[in-house]
Amino acid sequence: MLANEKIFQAVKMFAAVLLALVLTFIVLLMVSDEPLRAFSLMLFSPLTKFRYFGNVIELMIPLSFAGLATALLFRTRLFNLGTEGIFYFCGIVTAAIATQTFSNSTLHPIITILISGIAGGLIALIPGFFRAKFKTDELVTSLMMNSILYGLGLYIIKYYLQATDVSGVASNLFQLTAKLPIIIPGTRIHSGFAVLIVCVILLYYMLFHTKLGYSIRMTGLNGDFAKYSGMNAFWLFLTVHFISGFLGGIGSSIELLGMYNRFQWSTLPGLGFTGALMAMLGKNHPVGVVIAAFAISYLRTGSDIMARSTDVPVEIVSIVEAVIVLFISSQYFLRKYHERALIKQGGSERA
Amino acid sequence: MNDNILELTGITKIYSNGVVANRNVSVSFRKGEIHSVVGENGAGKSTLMKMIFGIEHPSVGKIVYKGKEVHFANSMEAIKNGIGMVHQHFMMIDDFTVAENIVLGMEPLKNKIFLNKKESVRITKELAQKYNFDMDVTLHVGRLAVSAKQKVEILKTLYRNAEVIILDEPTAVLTPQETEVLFDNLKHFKEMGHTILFISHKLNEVKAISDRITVMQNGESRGTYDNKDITIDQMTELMVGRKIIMSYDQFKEPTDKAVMAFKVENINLNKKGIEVLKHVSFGVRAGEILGIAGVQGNGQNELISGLVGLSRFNTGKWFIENKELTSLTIEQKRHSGLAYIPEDRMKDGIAQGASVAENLISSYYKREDINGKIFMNNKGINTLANRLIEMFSVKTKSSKSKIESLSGGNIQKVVVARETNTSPKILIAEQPTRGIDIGSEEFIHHELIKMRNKDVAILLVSADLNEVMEVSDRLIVMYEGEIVAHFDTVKGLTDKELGLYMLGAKRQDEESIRRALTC
Amino acid sequence: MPDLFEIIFKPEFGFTVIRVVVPILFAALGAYIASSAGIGNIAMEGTMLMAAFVGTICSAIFQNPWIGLMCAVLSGVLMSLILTYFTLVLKTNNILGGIALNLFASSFTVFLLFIVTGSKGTSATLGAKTLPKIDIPILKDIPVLGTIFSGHNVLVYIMFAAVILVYFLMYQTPLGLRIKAVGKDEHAAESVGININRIKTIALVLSGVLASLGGVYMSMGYLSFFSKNMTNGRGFIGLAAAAMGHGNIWMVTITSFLFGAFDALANALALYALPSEIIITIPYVAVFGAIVIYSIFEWRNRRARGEE
Repeated sequence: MLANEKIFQAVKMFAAVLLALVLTFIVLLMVSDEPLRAFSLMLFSPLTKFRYFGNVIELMIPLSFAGLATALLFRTRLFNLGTEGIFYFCGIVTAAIATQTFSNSTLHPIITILISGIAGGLIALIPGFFRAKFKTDELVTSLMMNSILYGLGLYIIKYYLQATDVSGVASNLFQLTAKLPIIIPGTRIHSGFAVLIVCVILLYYMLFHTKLGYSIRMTGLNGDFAKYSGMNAFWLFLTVHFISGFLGGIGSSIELLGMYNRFQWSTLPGLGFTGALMAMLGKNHPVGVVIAAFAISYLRTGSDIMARSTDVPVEIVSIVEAVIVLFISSQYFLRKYHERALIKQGGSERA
Repeated sequence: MNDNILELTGITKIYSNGVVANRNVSVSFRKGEIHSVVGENGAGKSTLMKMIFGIEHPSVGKIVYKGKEVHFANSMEAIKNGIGMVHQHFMMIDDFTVAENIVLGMEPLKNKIFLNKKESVRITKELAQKYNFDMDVTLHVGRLAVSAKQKVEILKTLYRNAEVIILDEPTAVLTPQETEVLFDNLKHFKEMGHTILFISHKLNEVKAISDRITVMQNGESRGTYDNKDITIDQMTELMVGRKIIMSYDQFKEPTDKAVMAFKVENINLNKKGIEVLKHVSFGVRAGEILGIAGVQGNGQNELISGLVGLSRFNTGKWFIENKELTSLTIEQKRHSGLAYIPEDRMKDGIAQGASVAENLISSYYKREDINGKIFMNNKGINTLANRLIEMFSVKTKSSKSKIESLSGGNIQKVVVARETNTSPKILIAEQPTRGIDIGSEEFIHHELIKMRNKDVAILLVSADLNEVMEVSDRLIVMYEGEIVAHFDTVKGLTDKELGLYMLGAKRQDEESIRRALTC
Repeated sequence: MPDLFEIIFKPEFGFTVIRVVVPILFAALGAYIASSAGIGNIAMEGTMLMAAFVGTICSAIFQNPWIGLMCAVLSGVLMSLILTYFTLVLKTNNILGGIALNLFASSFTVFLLFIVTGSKGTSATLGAKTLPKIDIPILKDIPVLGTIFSGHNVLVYIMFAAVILVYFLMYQTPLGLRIKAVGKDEHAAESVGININRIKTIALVLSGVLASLGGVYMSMGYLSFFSKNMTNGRGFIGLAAAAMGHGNIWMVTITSFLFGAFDALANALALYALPSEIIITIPYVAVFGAIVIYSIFEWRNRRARGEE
């Protein structure tokens, strides 16, 4: 049975999750006075109330966008972690537009989100260009850019957008015309969810049914092969970086317009980095990323609810996340059982 | 106790992707003999040797060395026990000196902690002299010629006191003259008590050097014979189960060769002060196969990678018919009618992780027949892929299988199928049959000739003398980045004579060489 | 606007450069060893952060900074072994594995911080002991040199020693030769019986030890407590310095000092009335610019060789 690749992958996934949960429980045993309650809250509380389940979807939206943005880069074998900085900076772009008065409440969010996306795309082009032209290590440049964008963003907020009526980093309130409408009553799930679904479908078709997607996938699998085949890595890297930055930008904008009343991130939000986890868990597949984002959102929401009523902080979820990600992205985890099953089948015929 | 130093019994090896490399092989090797293991590429010789050397491990079966059953976990243990191996592809660090490469892993020390660099040089010098190898051990290995590198490889095993020395296809990279020198060395080693395991698919060489011969076919042993008890013809039949055609002449149809399809003018390349290519000019006519012969490392790689657009030259122009390709992108070059079968198929020729179908369309994925307005036409791609798979009898479960689940020969067929399907004007084939089984090799040769018969110009680069001589219409020889000889026909040409040109011992006059371009 | 020269040519500036270069140079040395063995140790940042946390907490628990230091180094070894296990045994892509470990360290330290102190910000309330400062006799009385080189935290001197030790390791010992051999050509190294996984493990563990020294300096030298994400990209700056050193330990060291100088400059300028939000980006802009310039040089070299 394990000889079947798909079944094997599913078993592997299941084993990784199980292992992660066992480890988490052991840690809970060590740090908590009520480990069982904490553990069951973490695992089951999102199912106990409709509103809690809504929280899962709400959290899943930005994680998915960050995950899609990163997955596209990883697919092309570009190890760029710049989505974090883009999320932060495009939040400021969003704040700048969303605080302006605008008469049309359909166009206001659309314009805000689009401009934010374009800003994200342009920002991503900076490390993208240097990678494409000079092979500059995009991991380092993108991380440096995160810190630079943070400083720059903070400066803009403080000197141009700072609200006068609140202390601490905050913009003025967004105009009501800019806010995204809630689409499922009883929750705060907003229309950004619909945008996400559209993006996933578009990305899926782009990746698996267009020439661009084909060249992205081939370049990611083997850059030498892509070059040999006549694909132009320079333009491809620019395109991919722009799309990724665009997804990060609209993700940030949608999160702010859907869930916040003003910009108030005083530190990097961490959503972009989590996107890297989503990409790895989802195997850089658009649908996989969304599933991963759902699972992680579920766990995070559960942990959050748990943290509110127990002595365990929400960061415990990092154990589950790290363990699952490490095992899922390892090629050889449980591999020997797969191989044994193959050998039992007697090996395929030698050609 | 018998005089066998090494005995293999019932060895079977199945790789994790399910490929069976060896099935129930039993052989024994006597102390102090030169024992050849022959078989076509892909017959499982190399895998068998790697198991002796501890790099691979048998799935089933046992290895007895000096009377004791051994399970070498890695090559370290094999080396400690006196087994050395010279690999087909050299295993050396180009940035290190000869001495460093030889002592690596067993370095002489001073004060018990630090490297003793002087002592390394002294010891390796002495070792080289003892075995009649003449070389400067302080040179960086990257600057050595192929035959000198091979000597370093042999010295590495001797430095580790190897009693059994495995040589994996050592003559594949040598000229006939260099091969003779190697054979003298090997006989010398035998006199000094070493056991030599000589892996080859060149039967005349095997016949010349061996005491005993083991024939392998399709992962299995077809028996071990005393040299005197077996003829080359018998070996051939055991190896392939049928006779190999040694000439493809009968398949070549007359072509008019009226059009100069591919023309290369005055290519020069200078790398870090070393002239890698000097005044290279030649032409290939539609409907002919031009072979480039030469010891590897004489500029062929740089020439081809520049012509297809993967790297640049300092000067030079090249054309398809009258269209200049020089400064076009790879995509434009391909669009103008260039197709390319690369030397390293796993690195350049395919994308591992992609399906067979995806690998079959890469060089023309924008073509109309497999694209709609926005989306790629997956149905069209599959139809095309299935047609190519059938035409080239690629053995695969389906067009959706991952390319890496195929054998080397079938992967190469995928590459050839794709490149020929671009309807090229010039097809550059670089080592198109290296390391693949005889069936695929023959198939690919026939495919090249079919293309030739359809008036495609073909440039064939190969380090395998037999291949260039069997398949080519015309031939040029490269030595140190220059064309040193041009032959209008390969008829009557001997490999001995070619060897002289390949080694730089002979050179034609300028007039004859110029005919490579004008003829 | 203060006079830039006035800031830079004070001996105090030299002192600050050394003070801030410690975590960068330790990280760079670690990354240099790992990359010599052919592995990009992306987990540098997380290893440092973990060590910074473990060091100060253990120092507080045992009321002894040296035990804190030891525990921090152990945590560095552990992080490296985890990375080793996943990359070498389970064949996880080392970049992905490194990213995962960094994210893990970033939130797991906060988790533990909360468990230990009840705060998610800093460990300042614990009052952990820091590592001592050392005045060098004789040197401290020499005018300019004394100001620059004396009176630093003990880890500063360990750092200088580490540069020398790493030099000897990499250039004068069999282990160094083998590490380089593995990094340049695994198959070649394997063919002479070098156990590649063992060499890589050793290289990664060494790089983890060096990273942890850099990390522990953050919480027990530079500051006297742990705060959330306090390494702030220094591991990656070290990684960049190692890449730009191009396999030459002296270049790695010089590049690290260059980055340290920009860090010190930002520190110095922050004292003046410039917008601090912009000033704090100076070191990152410097690294960004440097690695871009470096890659342009590399690109031109490749072009000159006809490779591109």
